[in-house]
Amino acid sequence: MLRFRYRFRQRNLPSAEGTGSGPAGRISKMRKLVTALIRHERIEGKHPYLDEARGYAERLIDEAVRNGDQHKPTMEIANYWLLEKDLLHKLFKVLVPRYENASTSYTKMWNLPTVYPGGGYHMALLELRNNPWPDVIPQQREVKNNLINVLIKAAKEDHEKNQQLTEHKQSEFTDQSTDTGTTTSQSP
Amino acid sequence: MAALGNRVAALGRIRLLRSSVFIQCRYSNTLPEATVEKHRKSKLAQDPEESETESLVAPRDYKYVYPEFLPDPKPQYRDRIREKLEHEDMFRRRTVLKIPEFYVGSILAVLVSDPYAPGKKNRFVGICINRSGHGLRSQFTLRNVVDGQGMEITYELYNPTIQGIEVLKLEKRLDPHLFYLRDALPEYSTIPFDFEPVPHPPGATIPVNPVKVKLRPRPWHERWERQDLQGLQDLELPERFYERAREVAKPWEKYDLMKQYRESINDDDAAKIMGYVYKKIQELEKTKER
Amino acid sequence: MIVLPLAATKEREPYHPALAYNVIPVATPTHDQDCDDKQSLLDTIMSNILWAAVPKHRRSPTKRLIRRNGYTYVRDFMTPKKNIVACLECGHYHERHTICGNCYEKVKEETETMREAMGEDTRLYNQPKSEVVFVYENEKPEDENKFIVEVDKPRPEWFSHSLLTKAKTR
Repeated sequence: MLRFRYRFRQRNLPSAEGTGSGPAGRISKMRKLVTALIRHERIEGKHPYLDEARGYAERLIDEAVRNGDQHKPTMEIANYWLLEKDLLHKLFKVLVPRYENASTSYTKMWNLPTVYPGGGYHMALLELRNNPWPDVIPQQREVKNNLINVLIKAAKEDHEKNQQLTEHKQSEFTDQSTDTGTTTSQSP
Repeated sequence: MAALGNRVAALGRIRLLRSSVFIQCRYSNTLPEATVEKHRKSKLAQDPEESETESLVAPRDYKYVYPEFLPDPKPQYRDRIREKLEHEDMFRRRTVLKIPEFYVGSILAVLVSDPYAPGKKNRFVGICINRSGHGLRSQFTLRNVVDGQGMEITYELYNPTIQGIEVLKLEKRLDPHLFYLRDALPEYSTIPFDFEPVPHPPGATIPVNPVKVKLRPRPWHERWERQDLQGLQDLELPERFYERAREVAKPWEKYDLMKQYRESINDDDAAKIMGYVYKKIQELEKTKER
Repeated sequence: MIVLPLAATKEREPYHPALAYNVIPVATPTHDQDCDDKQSLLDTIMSNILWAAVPKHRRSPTKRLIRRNGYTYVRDFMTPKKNIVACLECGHYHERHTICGNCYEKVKEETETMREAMGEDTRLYNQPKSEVVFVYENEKPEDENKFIVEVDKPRPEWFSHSLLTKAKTR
């Protein structure tokens, strides 16, 4: 199962340099990107292409993790997708142990800053998780325990409590109103 | 709602159907199921029973025995609540009528209520050439040649007018469908109406019939040489047909992992659904024994 | 249920389609001999003008020029961006959905030195058979089973040795 946001329809990407046009060209471009990602573990490129390649990379690693290298169809798939054959060993012997027990996606994608005026395309960064390079965002601050955030959290909890109380009061009120308050004629 | 709107603005223009709230969002897996279902007022949307009970792990081939329980992979046709309701109805139907396990290539006899037939029932025997549909709309097509006339009838598995489905011969074929029987010699589609049922011991593996079918001379309904079919004899076509087939072929589709993922229910979700189905089938069998 | 009687298994007989009806349908315009001389080609076209697709309104110059000169250009470059934020670490500006360019430059430089230290052969042709670990100056490799690459410079402060722990707030 893919554990990241993917589009329902595939992008029919225009012909990229040296790969040809149409669905065949698109797949050959995807192969190049997947091969590059597995080799370098962090690649930059145009956002639509990397987003498409992300799906294929994740599926490839997923197949490898599920089936292992002794499964013949998986080996054929890996052989097709990895154009450079020293990466086959890396996929099954390095990446599979790394992601065996992962509960998250195997890749991460970031948006690079837009260069102006630029060529009208957006650049992105695609990387494998737990790669040896330094983190893309060097220092992730723990902002949870900042004073303002603590106060906001407390205020939110108070607000929710108040809401529950008012709902409870309203439900009591409605229960009372359903009683038929008609006065019966009493005999003197 | 404002927070949702902000998050959703990045996704673009969409309509969320079957919800009391009109949200502008795309049909996309980017919107988590919990967020979608939260806005639905039905109690089925938050079903506590499923999360409490342990889910059983179904046998490996369960999704081939009960393929109609898997929903339509297209996201615009999916509705979790409707699927749950359909599953309930399907199990209720199965308590009344025994729907056996069968595959494309099996020979079935179907008894249907017919107001115009003498005895108010109609029996048709045929070879199953196709299984399609999901949920209560799942169908199968039987083919036979009756008095020299080729005939196919498509039945809905959960149609209440069906009185009985009997598997006369349980077997598989080399292809996922048998539409080429329309262009084949009639002997491959002819099944006598008094076909004796072939007993199949429970738990045994399903035999695969490796028969290679001979086709009549062209013209055919489809270009069979362009499809990867195993159950056909050599088509004996001129070489230009095969050349054109090679030109037109899409060999990358075999390895197009995302296309296959989008066109099917992924393994984890399928396992979850099949676990639920397995549990219900077990309960059903227990009640039947009593 | 759908009943489909299909092609007969008998030999194919030649197909002679019968005329659907022997009467000329009334809907089509009849050829009037009287009008033959008087009606010209232009008249016949003008009489059918009800069926032509025609613009209803005049296109104003504004609309015309915007269409021709790339309204996406205007939309992208002439609308103010309200999603610019300052990076908490370095103060440089970037759009909210992107990473900080200035901080990433630092990371990119460091990644380049690490890649150089790996060597071209390892990097491009012979991928290591195990996980890669980079050992900087005055550091000892913790796990001998992994592929160790020695980098001849001190470790940058912002690149934590233990990658799992996040940097704490100051």
